[in-house]
Amino acid sequence: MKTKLMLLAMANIMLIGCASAPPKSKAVTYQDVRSQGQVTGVGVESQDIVTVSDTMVRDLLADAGLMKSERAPRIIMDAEYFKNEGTQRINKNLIVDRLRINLQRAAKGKLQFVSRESADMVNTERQLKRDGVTDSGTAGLTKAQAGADYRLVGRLSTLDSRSQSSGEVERYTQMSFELIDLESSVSVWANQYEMKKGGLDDAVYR
Amino acid sequence: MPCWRLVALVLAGASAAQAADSLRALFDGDEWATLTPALQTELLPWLGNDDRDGARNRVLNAMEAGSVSFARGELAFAEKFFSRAQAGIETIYADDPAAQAARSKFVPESSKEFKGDPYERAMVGYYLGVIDLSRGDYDNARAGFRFAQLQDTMSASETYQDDMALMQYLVAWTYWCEGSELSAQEEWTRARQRRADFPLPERGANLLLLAETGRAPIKFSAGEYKELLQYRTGPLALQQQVAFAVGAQQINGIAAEDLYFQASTRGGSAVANIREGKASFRRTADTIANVGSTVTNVAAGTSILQQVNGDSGSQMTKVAAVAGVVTIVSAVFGNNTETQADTRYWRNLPATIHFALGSISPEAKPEVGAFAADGKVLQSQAMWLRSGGSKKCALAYARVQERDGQWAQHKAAQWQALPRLKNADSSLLPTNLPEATDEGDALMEMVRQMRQTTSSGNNSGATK
Repeated sequence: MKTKLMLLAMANIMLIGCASAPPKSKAVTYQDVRSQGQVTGVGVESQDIVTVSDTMVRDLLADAGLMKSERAPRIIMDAEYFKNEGTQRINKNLIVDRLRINLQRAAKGKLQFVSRESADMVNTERQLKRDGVTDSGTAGLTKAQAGADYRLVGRLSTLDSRSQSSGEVERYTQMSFELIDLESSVSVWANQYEMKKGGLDDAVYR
Repeated sequence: MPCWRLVALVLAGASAAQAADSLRALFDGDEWATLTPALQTELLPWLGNDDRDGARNRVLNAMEAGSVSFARGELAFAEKFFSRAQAGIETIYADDPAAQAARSKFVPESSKEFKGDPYERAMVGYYLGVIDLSRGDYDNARAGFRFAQLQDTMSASETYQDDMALMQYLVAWTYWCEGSELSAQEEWTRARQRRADFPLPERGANLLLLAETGRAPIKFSAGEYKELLQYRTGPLALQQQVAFAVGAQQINGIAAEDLYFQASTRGGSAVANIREGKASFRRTADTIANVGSTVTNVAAGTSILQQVNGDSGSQMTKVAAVAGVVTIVSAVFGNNTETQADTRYWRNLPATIHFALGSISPEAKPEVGAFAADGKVLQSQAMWLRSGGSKKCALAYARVQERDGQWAQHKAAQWQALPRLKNADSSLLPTNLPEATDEGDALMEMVRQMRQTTSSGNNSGATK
C-alpha cells in the first residue's frame, strides 16, 4: 500500500510537472538567405525573394531580343511601377533591387540601367557643373540625362484562404514582371513567379 | 511557484536573452535620442515589460507601444512596433513548446505567446495601413487594410466575417488617392454594402480625417472554472460623437468601427474547446474527489462503529484509506488544472473609430471636436496632419483625450451641435456642463462647482 501511494504521488508530480522543456537561449547567428528561417509564415520571405530574382535574371539573360541588340538597351528597373496588391506589406525594393543588381552584374554591359530615382540628384550635380561651381569631371558633359528604352512594371498579388473547419491558412502569391517599351508601350518580355504556402497554427491560436 | 510560471519565466528569460528580438533592439541609440523626452518616458514601461516578459508578451507590448507612438504622431516608431507585432501574428506556431504547453491541462492558456484576438490582429493591420497612407505609400497601405480584413475572417459566424467595413472603405481610399477611380468605385460599393451610411467622396476630396474615442474592450473570464472568455466594453466615455474642423468648415464624423462589437462577435474557437476540455477534466476530478470524500467519511464512521461494537472494522478502514487516497489524488488533479481563459488584451485600443472626408487647404490645421451623446460639444483638440510627401492625399488623425470626467467647452462657439444619438445612454449625458465660452472659464466654473459640492457635502455631514 505504501508503495502504491508513493507511486501515485510520483505520477501526480510528473503530471503536474513541466509540460515540456523550455528552448535554450540562442545567440544571434548568420543564416543562409536561401534557407527557410525558423520564423515562418505564409508570406514572402528571404528565400522567395532570392528565388524569384534569380529566376527573372536567368530568363532575361536568355532573351535574345534584349541581349543581342546592336546597342545595349537602356532599362529603368525600379519599384515605381511594381505594385503590391497583396495582403502583405513588403518593401518592394528588396525584390527589384536584387533583380537589377544581379542582372547588371551578369549582363556585363549588354544591358544599361537608368536610375530615374536619382534624376533629381543628377540634375543638381549637372547644374553645379554648368554653373562653374565644379569642373566637368572626367567623363565630359552630355546634352541631357539618358533616356530609357524599357521600364520594368510588375505586380505582387495574393489570394488568401482560411479553412473555417480546420483553421488552416493558405496564401497563393503571384509576382509578375514585364518590360515595357517606352515608345510603343509594347511588352517585350514578361515572366511570373508563383508560390503557394499553407500552414496550420497551433490550436491555441485558432 | 506553479510550474507553468517557472516554464513561462524560463521561456521569457530565454527569449529576453535573444536581444536581437527584443523591442529595444528595434532602435539604435541615435533613433531613440530623436524622440521627445515625454515619449521616451511613455515608452519605457513597455520596453521594461518586454525585457521582463520576453516572447510571451512581445506582440502585446509591441501593440501597446505602437499605439502610444502612433497617438503622438511618431509614425516611424509606431511602424517599427506594429511591424514587429505583425511579424509575430503572421508566424505559424507549429511545434512551438509554449503553445504546446498551453494546451496541457496543467498549464494556463496565458502561458502561450500572445498573438491577440482577430480584432486585435486586425487593428495592427489598420494602424500599419494608416501609417503607409500618411506617407503616400498606397500599395502597402492597401496591404495593411487587407491584412486587417483577412484577420477579421476568423469569426465563426459568416455574418461577422470580414465585416470591418472601414477597412474596405480605406482600401477604396488608397485607390482614390492613386487616381484609380474605377478600382476605388468597386471598393466603395463593397464597403457601402456593409455600411450604406459611408459617404462617397466628393470630387476633389483629398483629406481623410480619422479620430478614435473611448477605451478598449475588456476581456474577462467567466464560467464555473473561469474557462469562458467574454468581453465587455471599456469604461464608457462621455465622448460619443466627433466632428472635424477644417478651416471654417465643420464636417461631422461617422462612427465607423465599434471594437467591442468586433471583439464580441467572433464566436467559437478551437482554443475555447481546449479550455472546455480542461474544465470538463476538472469537473470530473472534483466530482471524484467529492464522492471519494463522502465514501471516506462513511467508511471511516462505519469502521469506528464496528470497532465500538466489538468488530475489528478492518475492511471499512481499508475502504476509507483507498477512498481517501482517491480523494487526495483527484483533488490534486483538480486543483492543478488550469482552466482559466487568457484575458490578456490590448489595453490602449480605442472603443470607436470615426472618420470623415474633406479637402485640404494650405493653411488648414484640422481639429477634432468631441461631442456627447446628446450632441453637445465637450472639447476640441488639434490633429496631426501628414500630407503623404508629394502625393495628392493628406491624412489627419487624433486620439480624443479623455479628461477623467472633466471637460471644457474649448472654443465651443466654433462647433455646431450634432444630432442626438439614437438610443443615447442617459448615464453618458453630461448633465452639468458649465456654461462657459472658453477653456479658462470652463475650468473656473468647474472649480466653483466642485467647491460648492464639497461645501454642501461637508454641511450635510455636519447635520448628520
